[in-house]
Amino acid sequence: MTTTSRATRILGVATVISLAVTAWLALVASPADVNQGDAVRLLYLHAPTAWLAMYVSFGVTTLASVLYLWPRTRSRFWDLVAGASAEVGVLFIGLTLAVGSIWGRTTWGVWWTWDARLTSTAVLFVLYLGYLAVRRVPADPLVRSRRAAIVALAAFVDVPIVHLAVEWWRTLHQPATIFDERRLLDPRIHGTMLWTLLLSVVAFTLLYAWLLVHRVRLARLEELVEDHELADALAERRAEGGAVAADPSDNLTHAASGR
Amino acid sequence: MWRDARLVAGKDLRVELRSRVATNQVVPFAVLVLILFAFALDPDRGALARAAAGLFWVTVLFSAVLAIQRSFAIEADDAARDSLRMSGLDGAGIFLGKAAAVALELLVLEAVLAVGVVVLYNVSLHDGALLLLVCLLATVGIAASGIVYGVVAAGLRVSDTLLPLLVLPVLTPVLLAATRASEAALATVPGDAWPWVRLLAVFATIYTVFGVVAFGPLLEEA
Amino acid sequence: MTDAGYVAGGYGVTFVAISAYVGHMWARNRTVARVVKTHPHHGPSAGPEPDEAR
Repeated sequence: MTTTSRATRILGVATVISLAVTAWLALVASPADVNQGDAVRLLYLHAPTAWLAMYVSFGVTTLASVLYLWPRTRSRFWDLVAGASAEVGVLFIGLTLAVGSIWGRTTWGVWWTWDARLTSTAVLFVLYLGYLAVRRVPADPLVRSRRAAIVALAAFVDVPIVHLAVEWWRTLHQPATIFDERRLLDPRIHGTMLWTLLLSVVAFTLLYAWLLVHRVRLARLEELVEDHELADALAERRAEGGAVAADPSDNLTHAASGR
Repeated sequence: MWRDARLVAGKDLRVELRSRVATNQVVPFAVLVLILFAFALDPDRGALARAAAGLFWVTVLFSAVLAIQRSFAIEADDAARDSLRMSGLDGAGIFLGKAAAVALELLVLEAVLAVGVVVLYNVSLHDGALLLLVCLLATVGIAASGIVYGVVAAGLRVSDTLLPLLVLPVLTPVLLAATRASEAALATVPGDAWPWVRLLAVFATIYTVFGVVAFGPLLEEA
Repeated sequence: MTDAGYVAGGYGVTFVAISAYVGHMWARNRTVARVVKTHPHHGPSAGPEPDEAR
């Protein structure tokens, strides 16, 4: 009994192959940039992880939280999806920040700059770390799910405000952001670079999907095991208690605390 | 809803007035932080005066975390939270009441801190009405979002560490906006404060509405 | 450090982080699998689906 199935195995193979091809294209086949040199190769990691973390992962978390809170679509499944997606999103956004920082060091000469986009990404990272912390607090599953879903929504409504505030803050002090992403959509950009970037987005999306499916299934299995362990513990204590004490409520409290 | 809000706010404020924790511990803590900043940043080089607005709001945020924790700690004993849940009071009313009580405490704190900043950091007030408006809007936003996260963390063993982690990132736009607007009011940095005031108003509105909707369900299971 | 060094660093960090996450999940997966193996009645077939169980 694991989280693997035929479909995830195919998905996993596709992920690994596409990531390998991306790595080859990004590191070997694509040319160095006219301005940035070899450093541009970090773009093929930075852009897809940023896109997946900020739009896909946290979008899925928000949507799943809404679906969980909506009485008609409420199910454990959506809660697990929200949690899994946020976890993968935090991994990706952490990578975005790390790789972006390394990239910044080569192109701007500093590890960090208080650019609007960098700042709001960092705030988003911490917001969702808080969300994961709430999920990790031990509580009754139903209580925890609802609490987590509301926290996810509270974080989500904050995102546009953070974005706006940071944007104003920086633009009021300095003229513009240093890195302009629109340049990538410039038709004059080298064909191989564009294809590498597109494949990289596809590869990381597959990776996200693969991780998400496994994470959701794993969470389900772990909950199941936990439930059965509790049932076992209860049965054991009951058997013990049958010989010693006759008060069933007393045994129940013992079993729950002995968990 | 409004009657319930008044009742809860009255209760919280009465508890604070009688226990004097806010006046004897939170306010001195805030003033202490102001003094610590003066030690960290050399007052002679003018760094303090230039950073006065930012230091003021950072101090307010840290004190706000304490005030919010306090607002739920007073209900931790004697199953007071269960009684509140069972009282039949409207969830939205309880939220508004608790937020209003915290907001009032913070406003008092901000008045003390403002005097402290003017005296200790040697800054002059340029536009008092603007500063008052900024304080009012920022405080409503801090109290509303703080109470939402406060009830999430309330009663948990890890609440002391969880609450700052949850509430401080959410308050980053408030810190930014309030600091820029206060800088304009203190005229340390000339600038247009109105976009920031609007942002504070939007933040306060969004989290007040969010709290009115979400507080009831959150309290049920706190 | 050269650009190539930074690029290698960036790809290295990404590889290590994702591998660590996958490895962590794999290990938890193994734990679950072991529990299910030693307690054969623990499979999902033995009990109601999590949705109904709640």
